[in-house]
Amino acid sequence: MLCEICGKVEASVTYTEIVDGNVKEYHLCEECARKKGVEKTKFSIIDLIAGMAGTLEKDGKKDSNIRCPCCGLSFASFRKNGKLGCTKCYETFMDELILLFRKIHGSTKHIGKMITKDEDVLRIKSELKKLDNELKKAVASEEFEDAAKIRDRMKAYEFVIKMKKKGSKG
Amino acid sequence: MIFDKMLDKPSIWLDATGPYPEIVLSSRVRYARNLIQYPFVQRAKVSDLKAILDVVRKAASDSELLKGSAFIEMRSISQLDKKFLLERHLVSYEMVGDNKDRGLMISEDEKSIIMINEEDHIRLQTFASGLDLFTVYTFLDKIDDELGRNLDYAFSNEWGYLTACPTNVGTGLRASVLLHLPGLVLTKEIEKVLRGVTQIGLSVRGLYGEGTEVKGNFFQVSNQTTLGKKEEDIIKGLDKVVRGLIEYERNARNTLLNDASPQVEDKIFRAYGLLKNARILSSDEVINLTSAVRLGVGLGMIKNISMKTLNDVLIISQPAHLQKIFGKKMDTEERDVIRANYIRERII
Repeated sequence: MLCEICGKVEASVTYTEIVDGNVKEYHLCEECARKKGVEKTKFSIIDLIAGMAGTLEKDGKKDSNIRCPCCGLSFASFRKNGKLGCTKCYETFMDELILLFRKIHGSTKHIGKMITKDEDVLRIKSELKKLDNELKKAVASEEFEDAAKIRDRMKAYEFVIKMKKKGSKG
Repeated sequence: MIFDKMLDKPSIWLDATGPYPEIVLSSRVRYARNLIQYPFVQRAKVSDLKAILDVVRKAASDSELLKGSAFIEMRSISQLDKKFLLERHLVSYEMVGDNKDRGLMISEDEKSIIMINEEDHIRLQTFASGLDLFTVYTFLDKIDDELGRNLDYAFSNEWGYLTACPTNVGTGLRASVLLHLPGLVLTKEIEKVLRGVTQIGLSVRGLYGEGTEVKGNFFQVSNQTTLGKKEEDIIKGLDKVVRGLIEYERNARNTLLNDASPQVEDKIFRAYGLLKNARILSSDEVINLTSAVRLGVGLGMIKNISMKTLNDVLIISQPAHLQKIFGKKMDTEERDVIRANYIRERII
């Protein structure tokens, strides 16, 4: 969303004004927010990620050029719009996300509804087997674009199986 | 066609039959879910989006609980139809803002919907009239179980359901209640009360959800965090806060009656008079005037109008609804006249 005042820069500050009981929410860019004398008080995910990424870069821990091997999303672009690209991004940006979860949710561990049924893992494994066959066929017939797509899907499945195992141990 | 069926009445969950109809309009809950095998919507290719639409549509049509649902492909409907769905709170702005391959499943009673390819692949939502969070949540969870049997959800034991935005990760659950709080606004207590609500980790928004302004003293209160809590506890927490808000609102209304009765009565009956007699009315005017009349009905000052009629008016007098009911495109001026005519028929 673009800033509601200048309409040019991506809005990063959410500003709530209450006049005579009427609450109005504005989305502004930092520059316009400063001009309006707005201090950042309200939680904004983009602010949180930006702040956090700064700290990580200073420590030399994170290169903002790092990309998710599955969907190609760069950390810089995640920082800009606050949205992840695929399931695999959760693994690629794990360190940052854990910090972020703590800030947003005050927690890093899911304790709600679970899907841990063995049949799920079995189904995923059989799906993987199917994809593996497709992959072999694609490679044999030199359809490399298809092969790359299939490989991306397999990575996502493998990641989910890995995460299931990790969770059940911890 | 599904639109014809919906045309002249709002969704059933706005029928004012639920608990606390004088203060709570509706309760809703949603789950955000994604399929493992596709990138999230923002990074998905057109072919992925189409495939997701098919897969989810198939799973939903196999569901017993969603039997008889209608499917709407967002690309295939007009701009007016999109606005119409938005006015009924059945889609979000994200669903109508562009021409991506997105879809909507609506159950026959409009109490359950699935937004497909919104920010997440699946946004499953259930609604109820009044304050009824446990009912909507229980139903939501059952549908989710059914869908989950046929779909591979992106899930990790560590972080729960994986979503496009880290603010939804974990349970993917957002529960919200739409409240009418004119008493707290008139006694100028609202700011204090809302500040309290946000301090305990809930968020407050306007009538149409995220990023919208508050109109007609309607406030939407919802949970902010989704990770590290059980679904039931999120629901219980919100329910408790909303019950507190109802109590505050009732006290504020009593204070108004005791301390400023003629002024309050005057405000209510002026609004009533305008709605009954005006020949030109804008949408915003209707929202604000019906808010005062709603307070009058809630306080028992106005007896011949029901909360349901007020909800009908609130939904049907919106621009896209009027244009669809009267079957023609109308500019603002024409709409304002038609709107006033319609309201004079309903508010007697």
